[in-house]
Formats: sequence, C-alpha cells, structure tokens
Amino acid sequence: MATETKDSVFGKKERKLITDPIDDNNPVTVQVLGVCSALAVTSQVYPALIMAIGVTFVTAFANLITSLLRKSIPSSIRMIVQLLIVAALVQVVELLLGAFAYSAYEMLSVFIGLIITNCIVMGRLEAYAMANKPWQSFLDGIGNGLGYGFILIVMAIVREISGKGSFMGWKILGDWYTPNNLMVLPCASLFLIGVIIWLQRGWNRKLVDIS
Amino acid sequence: MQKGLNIYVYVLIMTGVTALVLSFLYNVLDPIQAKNKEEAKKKSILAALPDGGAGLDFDKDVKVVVLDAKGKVKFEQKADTKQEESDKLFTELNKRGQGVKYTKLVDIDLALEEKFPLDQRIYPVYLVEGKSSKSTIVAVRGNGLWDKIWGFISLENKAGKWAVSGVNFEHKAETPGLGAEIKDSKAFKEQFKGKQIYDNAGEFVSVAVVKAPKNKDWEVKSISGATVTSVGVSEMMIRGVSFYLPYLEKISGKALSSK
Repeated sequence: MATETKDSVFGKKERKLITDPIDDNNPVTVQVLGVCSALAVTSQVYPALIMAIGVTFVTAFANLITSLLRKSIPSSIRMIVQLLIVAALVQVVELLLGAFAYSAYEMLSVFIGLIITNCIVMGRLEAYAMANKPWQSFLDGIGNGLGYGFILIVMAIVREISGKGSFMGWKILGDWYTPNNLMVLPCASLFLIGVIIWLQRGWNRKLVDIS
Repeated sequence: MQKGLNIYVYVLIMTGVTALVLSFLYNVLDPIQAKNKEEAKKKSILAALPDGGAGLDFDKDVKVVVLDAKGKVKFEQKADTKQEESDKLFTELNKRGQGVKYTKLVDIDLALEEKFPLDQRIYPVYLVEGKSSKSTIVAVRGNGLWDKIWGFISLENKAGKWAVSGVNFEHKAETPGLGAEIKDSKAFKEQFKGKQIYDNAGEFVSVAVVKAPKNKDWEVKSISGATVTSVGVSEMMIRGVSFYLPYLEKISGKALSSK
C-alpha cells in the first residue's frame, strides 16, 4: 500500500506495531519464541513482572540502537554487532535490578543474563530493526516485549494462585485451599502455554486459517 | 583490504563505547548493589530469631564472634570494640588470599571460607541480646539437590540445655515448590522451634529431618518430593551445628557459673 511509506509519530501503522505482537503475532504463543524463560520465571507474579519489564527494555532499546546503526553496520559482522548491543543492554538491566530491585534480582538470578539468549530479542533485530526506521523499531520492540510479558504475567497469575494460593506474595486463598504443588513446577507452564495457545486460536480465527 | 580495515575500526569503536558505558554504570551502581546484598544478609541472619528479628538493628543489637578452624574464639566483638581491632583481624584474614577481602564483620561468610583449606577457615557466630531472651545464631552451609544450601540457626540456652529457637534457610537453586520450600515454607521452618540438639542421654543429635518423625524432641518432618534437599538440611544441621558445640559448651558453662 502506498500509505505505508508515510510515517507518522503515532499513526495506524505505529499502533499496529504495539498491538500486533500482543495477539495476532504474539512472540510466545504464535511464534513460540522465548518459551524457556516463560517456563522458568512464571511461578510467581512479581519475578514474572520484573522479567517482562526487563525484556521489554532490552527489545525496545536493542531495536532502537540497531536501527540507528543499521546503515553503518557492515553486513558481514551484523550478528556480532547485534549480539554486542543486546549483551550490553542485558548487563545494564542486571546492574539496575541489583541496585534498585534486589529481591527480584535474587529471584531471577541466572535468568536475567539469559535474556540475551531470548530468541525474541535477536529475532526482532534481524527481522525488523535492520530494515526499519528507529522510532518504528523502538515501538516494535516495546510491542514484542509487551506481548511476551502479557503471556508471562497471565501464566504467573494462574500458577501463583493455584500453586501457592497467593498473588504477588499476598495470601488470597484461605487455609481451606491446598496448594497444588504441580503448578509451581516448570512443567506446569508447558501445558499452561498449550492451553493459552488453544484458547487464543479459539477466538482468533486468523491464526488457524493461515496454517 | 580497505573494507576489511573498516570492519576492524567499527568493531573497535563499538566495543570501546560499550565498555565505557558499562564500566561507568558499574562504578555507579555496584556500591548500591553491595549495600543491598549486605542488608539482605543482615536480614537473613536476624530472620533465624523466633520473632523474625522484628525491631532489631543488626549493627547495634548483634555482636559477632569469630571462631577459628578448631572452634576456639579468635575474635570477639564487644560494645567497646574499636574499628582498629577488627581491622587487624581483617588484615590477618585477607592475607590468606583467594580474592577474599573482608572489611566488615558481617562480610564473613562460609561461602567465601569454602575457598580455603579446612584448617584455615573461620566461622561466624552472632550473639543477639533481645528484650526477653538471649540468642546465639550460628551459620551453617551444606549441599542441596542442585547447588549449595545454607542457613542460620538460632540457639537458646534453657537451664543449661541448648535448644533451637528458630531457623532460616537459604538456597541457591533448589526446585521451586519442592526443595525451595526449605526457604519458602514457614511451616517447615516453624517445626524447628524448641527442638533439642541433645537427646535425653546427653548425646548430640542436632535436629534430624526425617520422613516420619518418631521423637518430637529432636526430629522434624521432611518435605515430601524433596528428599535430597531434606537430607541435605539434616546433614547440614548435624555437621554444621556440631562444629560450634565446644564454643556453645564454653559459653553455657560461663552462663551457669555466673548464676
């Protein structure tokens, strides 16, 4: 379409960059990326929330920086440059969490460092930021971070309530509730993701018709 | 050739800028993180107390005693202990190398001591003078299923008999919902309260973590589904606490004779 070449600050195209990854093109449930961390950090809501913010920060700024540099990056080493940008940003997240959210830093421990291996980050850099303008790339990063974070938090809410009877650490179910230990284990998130994908395909026919 | 050179220059500039930014951030944020870490440790030690250390200030209410590898007192912090005296201890301890640099008494950690051979290690004891009771907190460290587990055991001397008044366990990588329950489950930690560390014949038994506790005085129930971690806690309670026995006997002797 001809209108797509015109860029506005927050037009239809830009809004779509944010909303698309949340449903139609969700990185976790549609593209099935970043599942490893989705299994690992979703036993409680608080660490899942911090992880979602961390990944959103990294995807957004990695996209922005890569897009700013996209014309100067020599194509033979572009992956290495992208990796350097992501690694540096992950380190920034780790330092910030250690200084300002220490309990989350302890809970997430090794998984902060593993944001670097989250396929969503590198995937967006290669697929979007290398070929698009900085502002759009930034929004695309935020959208994908939110899409990932949305699934993470939904899973964490279900897992924390059913597995511990609490929400964000507060006990909301009384003593009558026997916590379901299975829900706290990583395997529970596998079938939870399965259920979410199934539900999503139930209401979003677009996803089914493609395949 | 020209193109190849460009790539090298590009990489050099990129890595240089990244390194600068990161080292600047590290310098600004690392002291804050170190402080968080210290606060978390103080909290973790005080959490072993029966009331969770509510209202206590680690710097004011806790006195640190350092034991040498044989369990003898190497250093004793008192109300009038000057900074120079503890600095002298740190200079001596830091000579052992391995990158261990103590600057505060709270820094002393069994995790760091593990780097040294057994006969060079030191062990911290924390004496807490609460409003109603006097507690001796000892540090223990052992193995869980995936990685290290450690904890602080609060002991109280009641009529010449040492008993556990509270515990706090930490772990590095135990399974959430199973092994991690040693830290997360209040009910598990609650069981240790009031348990004897000597049996009725006066033999040291520590507190055993077993599947079906037979003796309510020194046995607690393990976490089902987390056998390895439970055995680890049990082993840590026996080996860890037994090290401090000579010291405990010594201070209880003092306490009794002064009565």
